[in-house]
Amino acid sequence: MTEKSATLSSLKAENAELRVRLEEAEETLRAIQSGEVEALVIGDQVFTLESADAESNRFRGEALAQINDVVIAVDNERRLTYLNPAAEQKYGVRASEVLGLKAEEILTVHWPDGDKTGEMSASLAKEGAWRGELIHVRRDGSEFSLEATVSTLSDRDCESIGRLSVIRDISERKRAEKELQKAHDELELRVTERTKELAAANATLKEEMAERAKVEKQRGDLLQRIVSSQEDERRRIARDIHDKLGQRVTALRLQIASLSDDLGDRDKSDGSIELLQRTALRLDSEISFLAWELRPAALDDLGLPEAAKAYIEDWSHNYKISSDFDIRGFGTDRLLPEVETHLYRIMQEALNNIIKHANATNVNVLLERKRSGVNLIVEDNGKGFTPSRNGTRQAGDGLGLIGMRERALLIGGDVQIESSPGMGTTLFIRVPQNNHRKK
Amino acid sequence: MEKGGKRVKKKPDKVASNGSDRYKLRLFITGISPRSSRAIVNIRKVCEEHLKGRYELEIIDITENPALAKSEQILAAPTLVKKLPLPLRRFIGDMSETDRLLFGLDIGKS
Repeated sequence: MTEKSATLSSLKAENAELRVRLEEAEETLRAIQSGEVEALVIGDQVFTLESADAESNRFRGEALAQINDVVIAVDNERRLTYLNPAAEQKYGVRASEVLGLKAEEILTVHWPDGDKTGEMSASLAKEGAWRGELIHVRRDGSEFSLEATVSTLSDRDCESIGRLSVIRDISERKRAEKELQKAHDELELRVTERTKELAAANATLKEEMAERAKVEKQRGDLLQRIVSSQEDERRRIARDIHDKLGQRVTALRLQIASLSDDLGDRDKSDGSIELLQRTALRLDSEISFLAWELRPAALDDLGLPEAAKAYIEDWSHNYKISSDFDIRGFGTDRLLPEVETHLYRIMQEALNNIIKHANATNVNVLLERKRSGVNLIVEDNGKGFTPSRNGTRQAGDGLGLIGMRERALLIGGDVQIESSPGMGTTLFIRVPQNNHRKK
Repeated sequence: MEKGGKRVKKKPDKVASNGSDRYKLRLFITGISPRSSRAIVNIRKVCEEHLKGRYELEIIDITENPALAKSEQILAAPTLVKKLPLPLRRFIGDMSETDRLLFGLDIGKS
C-alpha cells in the first residue's frame, strides 16, 4: 500500500466517521424536536427537558410509585411496559431489567378455582375491566394469592394497546380464611364427636332408665302380688274367724244364756255366770270387729263407699271421735277391686294415724268421684305437725305414710299432706281416671 | 466497563457461540420515566425478537452516573450505544422507529 493510498483510505474513514457523527447530531436534533429526548448532557450536568405534559406525567408517575398496590402494564403481546416500585418489590425485579420482556418471564399465573382466562377476556371486551382472584408464581418459585383488577389500555384512537393490572396481595386474608376454615372444621369435628358422645351417653342413660323402669315395674308387680295375696289371706282369715270362731262364740254365749235360764233361782254362782255371759258377749263383738277390720265383706259385696261409711261409723263409735263422712259422685258403677281395696286401706291407715298421733276430736272424710279420677280427703282437727320436704313426718312414725304412698302408687295415684303444728292434718289422695271400671 | 460506574443494570444476557454475532448494547436513560420506559420496552422487544440469546443490554441511568455518560460522549437521553459488534453506533430517541433501529443495528437483513 502506497502512502498516498493510505492517506486516501484514512481520509475516507475519517469522512465516514464524520458522516456518522453528523447523522447522530441530526438524529439528536430530530429526537429533541419530536419530543423523544428527555434529558441533555452538557459537561458533567444533566438537564431534563420537560414537555407540556411533563407535570401531569410526573404526577401520575409519583402517584403510581407511591401506592402500595402492585401496578403492572403489558402491551398486546403481553410485554411488560410498566411496573411500579411495589411491583418491582413484589416480583423481586428491577423495571429496567424486565421492561420489554414477556410477563411470563417474571410470573406464572395459576387459577385457584379453574382457568378464567376466557371469562377475563370476555369481561375486558365487554366492559373494559375484570376483577378476580388468582395466584402468581414468581421466578424463584414462591407464590402469593392476589386480587387483580385488570383494565384495557387504549390509545387516542381507542385502539387497545394492552392491559393494566392493579394487584392486591390477599395471601394474609387467604391464610386467615384458611385458618378460620380449619378452626371451623375442627369445631365441626369436635361438635360431631361430642354429639356422638352425647348420643352414646344418652343411649346408655335410656338403657339405664329402661332397666330401672323394668326393675321398678317388677317391684310394683311384686308389691301388687304381695298386697293382693295379703288381702286374700286377710279375707280368708276374716271369713274363718267370722264363720268358725264367731259362730262358736255365739253358740257359747247362747249356751251360757240357756244355762242361766235353766238355773234360774238355783244359781249359786254369785254373779259368775252373769260375768261369763258379759265376757262372751264382748268376745263375740270383738271377734266380729276383728273380722270386719281384717277384711269387711261389705267391701267386696257393696263397694267402697258403703264399706268406708260402715268402717268410719264403727271407728268413730269405738274411739269416741266424732266424724263426718261425705260421698260425692258415685253412681252404680264400681271402681277396680284393687283401687277399692287400696283406698280402703289408705283410709284405715289414715284413721289409725289419727288415733296414734293426732289427739283429734273430729274427723272429716270426703270420698269424691270425678271425671278425672277419685279423691279421698281425710281431715282431722288434731295437733298437726311440720311436714318435711318429702312429706313424711320429721320425727316418729313415717312408716304409715310410706305405706300409704306405696299403696297409692300401685294404683297410679299419689298422697299429699297439709299440716302445721296446732292446725290439724289433711291428707289428699288422688287416683286418676284410668283405674276405674264400668259395671 | 468503566471504573466506579454505577450501573442501573448489569445483566449478562445469554451470549451466542458465534462471537461475531454477539451484541453488546447500552441504553442511557433518565430514571424510569414514561419515555425511558418506552425506550427500554422498544429496544428490548427488538432484541428479544431478533437477537434472542446473543445480546447483552445494560440500562444506565445518567442522573445516577453522569460521568459515565460524559465518557461515552452521550449528549441526550435516551441514547442507545452499540458497543459491539463494531463499529460503535449511537441511537437517540425512544427507539419507536423499529425499522430504522434494525437498519442501524445492522440486523434488518436477518
